[in-house]
Amino acid sequence: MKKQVVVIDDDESYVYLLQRKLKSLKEEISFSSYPTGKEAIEYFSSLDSESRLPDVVILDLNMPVMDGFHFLEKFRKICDSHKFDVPPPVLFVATSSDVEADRHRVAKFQLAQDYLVKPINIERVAQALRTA
Amino acid sequence: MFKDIFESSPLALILVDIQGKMKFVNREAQILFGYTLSEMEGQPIEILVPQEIRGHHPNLRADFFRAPSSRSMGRGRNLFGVKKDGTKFPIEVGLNPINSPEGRYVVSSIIDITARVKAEEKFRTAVEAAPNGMIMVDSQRKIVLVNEQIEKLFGYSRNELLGNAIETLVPLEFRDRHPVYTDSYMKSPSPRAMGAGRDLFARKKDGTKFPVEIGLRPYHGPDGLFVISSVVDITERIKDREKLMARNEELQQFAYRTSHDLKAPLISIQGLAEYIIEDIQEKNNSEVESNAKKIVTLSQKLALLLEDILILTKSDYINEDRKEIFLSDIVETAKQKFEISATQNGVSIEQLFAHTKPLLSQPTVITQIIDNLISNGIKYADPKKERRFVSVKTFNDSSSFHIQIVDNGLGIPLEKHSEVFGMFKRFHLDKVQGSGLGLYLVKKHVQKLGGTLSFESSDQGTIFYIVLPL
Repeated sequence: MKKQVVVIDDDESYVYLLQRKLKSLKEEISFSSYPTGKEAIEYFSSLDSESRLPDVVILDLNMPVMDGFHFLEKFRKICDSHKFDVPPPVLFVATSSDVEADRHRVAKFQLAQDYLVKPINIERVAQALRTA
Repeated sequence: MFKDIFESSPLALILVDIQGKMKFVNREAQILFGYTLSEMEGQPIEILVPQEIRGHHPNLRADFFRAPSSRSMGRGRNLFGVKKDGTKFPIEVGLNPINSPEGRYVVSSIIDITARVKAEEKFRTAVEAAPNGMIMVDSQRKIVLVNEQIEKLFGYSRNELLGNAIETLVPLEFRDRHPVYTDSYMKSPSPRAMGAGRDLFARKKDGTKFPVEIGLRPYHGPDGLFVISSVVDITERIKDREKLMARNEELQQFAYRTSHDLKAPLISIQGLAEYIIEDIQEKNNSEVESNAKKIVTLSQKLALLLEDILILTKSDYINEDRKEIFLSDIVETAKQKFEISATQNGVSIEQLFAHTKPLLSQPTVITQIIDNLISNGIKYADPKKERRFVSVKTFNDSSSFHIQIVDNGLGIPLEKHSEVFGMFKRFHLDKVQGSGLGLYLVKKHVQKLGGTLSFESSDQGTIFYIVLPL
């Protein structure tokens, strides 16, 4: 079965780059992206316990409308509501700013497997996809 | 024997009978008042009393003989003696009744306190001259001295303070604890600042609390221990400190966000360029072209961001002379500047001027304000609306010049209204991202011109209100 990757990032060029990097992996991947946290939350809210969750989520922090932190807050609530029977997908934060305060804020939600600084090492995502 | 002792006393002594006649005057008293013995003996004591109370003095004397006791004269009043040459000088007088078979007498001992009064005056002058509020309290925490600064600072007159506990000036919530602190200070007094590391507050007569800095210094006087406090109102200092901290915070934000916003497009440019190299080798021309276009867009975005950052960092240093501003020129120029994006978004730029007085202000600053707001109105036009516009309106009253930038665009989401003038705030997902610095700059500029900036926004559109002093 194809592995599913969801990217949440408002930077179209970056989404394109990520998609190409993922294509270069051996893995068969289906790829979808959301431009802000808002659209991503709408997508996750529309899922039910029968739906298949993505295997990996790659989340940007700095986005308009709903930023990565706000997304994590909402996504935490969705996960805590036991909406899904399965554990939440592997989530990577991918941001261009390497700031201690942001790492702490992200860590508080206990959702991100890693905090990656752009340009990210795609091998980290590849590993996660292999074990997913 | 008795006379010898009297005579050789270092104090000026005068023996007065019940009629107020001087029966005996010792050498010291003669020297003090400048009379010879014969000039004094048998004369009424009143010749030594200043003219203005001479008439009243016999009554006071009679009062004393009615209830004689050893005491000092004229408690709480300033006493003066008069020399033979008419000079008035400050004195302290002790009274001791004597009952002898020949009758009742009083021995007055007189001390010239000119030197002491002068020293006190010097002290008082120094205290009054101090730029700080000065308060002296005794060991019972009673206020014994305040200067004019204290009266101004607290709104009490000195008579309302003298004799009252120092706690009068302490905020209600600390009043209970204050005596404990004072007592512990009195036990080991040393010059130091009060409440090191704590924020101190004082209370005005009207109940207002204000932050203070207080220095303490003990004074061991002949009447015991006193504490002199200097009080400084630090309201302004705290405001400045807060401003500074806010500026610092802002600067950190700025450094953090600029580095982020500059880095992100660079990373993309690098990645795209790498793929272009790859695609050229594979002769995938359409992909090369598409990625090269993306690089152009990203570079443009970077250039815009850099320009905004530059304008922002320069904004503190722009200091132009006030000139008459021709707003129609500014709007016309803006129409040309934003022609492409306005056409793309189908937005018309309009003006409706109703001001009767000219606006005198800084041209570059005003231009940047208007440009930013017009460009926002174009960028965030609402494609669902048929006729899209940004309109610049003006009018004035006697004291202010009003500029309103009205659009019928997307509006700012209600939950973001508090963040509108923050740095790096973007509220809409747009193809050509703004730097997020525009409104922050506008706010800074309007403040710089001494004006106010506010806005109203809904899904019907946004109005920015600028009010500038005329």
